[in-house]
Amino acid sequence: MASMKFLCDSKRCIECNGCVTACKNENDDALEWGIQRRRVVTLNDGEPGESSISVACMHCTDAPCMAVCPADCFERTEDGIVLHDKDLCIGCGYCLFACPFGAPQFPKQDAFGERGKMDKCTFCAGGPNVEDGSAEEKEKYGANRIAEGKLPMCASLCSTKALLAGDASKISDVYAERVVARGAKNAGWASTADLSYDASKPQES
Amino acid sequence: MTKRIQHWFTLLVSVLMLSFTLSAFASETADDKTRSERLGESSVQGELAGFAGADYWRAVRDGQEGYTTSKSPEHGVLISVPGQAWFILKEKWMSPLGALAIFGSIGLVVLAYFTIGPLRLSKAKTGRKIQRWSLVDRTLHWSMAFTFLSLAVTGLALVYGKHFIKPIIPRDIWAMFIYGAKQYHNYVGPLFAILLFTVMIKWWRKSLFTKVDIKWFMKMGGMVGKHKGSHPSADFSNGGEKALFWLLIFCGVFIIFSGFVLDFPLFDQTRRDMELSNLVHMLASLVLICGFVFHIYVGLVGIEASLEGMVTGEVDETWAKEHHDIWYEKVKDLPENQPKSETSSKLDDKS
Repeated sequence: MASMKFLCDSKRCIECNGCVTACKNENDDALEWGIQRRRVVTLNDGEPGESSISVACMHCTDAPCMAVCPADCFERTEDGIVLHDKDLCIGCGYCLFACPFGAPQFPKQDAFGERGKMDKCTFCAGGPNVEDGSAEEKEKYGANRIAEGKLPMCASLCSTKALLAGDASKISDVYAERVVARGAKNAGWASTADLSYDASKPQES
Repeated sequence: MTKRIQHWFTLLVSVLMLSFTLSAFASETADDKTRSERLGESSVQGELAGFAGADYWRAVRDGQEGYTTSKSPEHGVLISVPGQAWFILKEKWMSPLGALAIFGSIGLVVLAYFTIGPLRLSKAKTGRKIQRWSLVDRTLHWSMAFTFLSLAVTGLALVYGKHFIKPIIPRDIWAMFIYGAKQYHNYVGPLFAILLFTVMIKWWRKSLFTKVDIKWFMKMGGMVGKHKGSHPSADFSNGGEKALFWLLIFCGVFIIFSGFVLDFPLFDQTRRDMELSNLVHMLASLVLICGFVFHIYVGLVGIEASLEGMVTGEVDETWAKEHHDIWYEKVKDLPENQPKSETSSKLDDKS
């Protein structure tokens, strides 16, 4: 029983949007025009204290989307990944209202702006009630790297290793090592001061 | 002399200005120091406690908006917490309390049936028919009844279906059913809006309250307890019917406007707008559903011979005299309400 999580190191994220592109490319068969499952948000853009964070579905342990869905289409896998069944999704938008991260998105190509089947990050774990790695799964949900023993594409391709994906205890160990052993102060989602590293200046201890 | 004074004065002013500037500098650096110390402290604490605690985190939680390349609505907001309040209000409060209110209302009318019992006509029917509802009125009423009930059923299925229906039917059937419920609700909803405004225009005049209605309410409509069968006077509509009409209009307007916000996500309405609309929509619908449990009871079994007025358009003279005496006095002499003898045997055949 793992508990799969994402973690983004705001000190390392350089807003290259590589994770966005990696995700879009990996899950392309399932993604309709205009939908990107992952996004990078830059706060204080262009000002001192600028910092960026990559965000998608956070696969909450107590997921609000799961609680409000009228069709009850969500399920949590044994790895702690929150997946949704597109056969059951009715496109009501309740998960979007409840989600703090703005992860659920809806294709809107029908009449009256009617929402289509919801789409969100699957932790590259495909979807429920389809055969792992099948063409149907790829068409509906995108890649299933978890079934191949791989981690999500976004984190795997992150050039600065800001975005970590994996079992919560493993990635928090990686992060703790950065903070404690390697001196990366303010590396979490908790930084405003001194983001850029300037080798010409003496470093504060 | 004046030159020397001028010189000294300039020097004095310069010194003063310099000292001001310096002190300002000094306090600024001191402020900076404490701020950075404070920030450093809080971020260390934040890191120790996971990711929470720092000022930055607080700003993020407050829904601070940043820059993103994503073009999806509200994607600049990193974290949006208020959705939590909506989800708790909807799932933990409205759902259970709503079920309680609906089952409570049904329980009350069942109780009323067995304790108070239906109100029978006190005299036999005379067989003379009085015109009450035109074909247009009846069509409007039954279209409204059909859309209202079907929207209530699909709406309740969207709220409670996952608890009561999903566990007992196959997955494929459930998928079809719940998708159908949502589509029906979204497409028939606007039809209900049109019907409601038509009803409002058609029936508002006969639903204005008068003094007679106060007396009607004082006697509890002549339906309950010691007043039962006392038949307080009423015009075309009695106090209860008028109250129900205005309840329908009042709640209906809320339902229609909130439903419009939810049904058409085309106008850049935010998640917050839709959450609020959802709560308003559910609350107003709940009030109407409970209200109409009583309406349906009264119409079907609560008062004898009420239903036939809305089905055939005519009511019996006895019923009119007992329930709507003022209206009866007004219309009894109209030519269409005269006893049918030989002239129109067609209508007689029905009764």
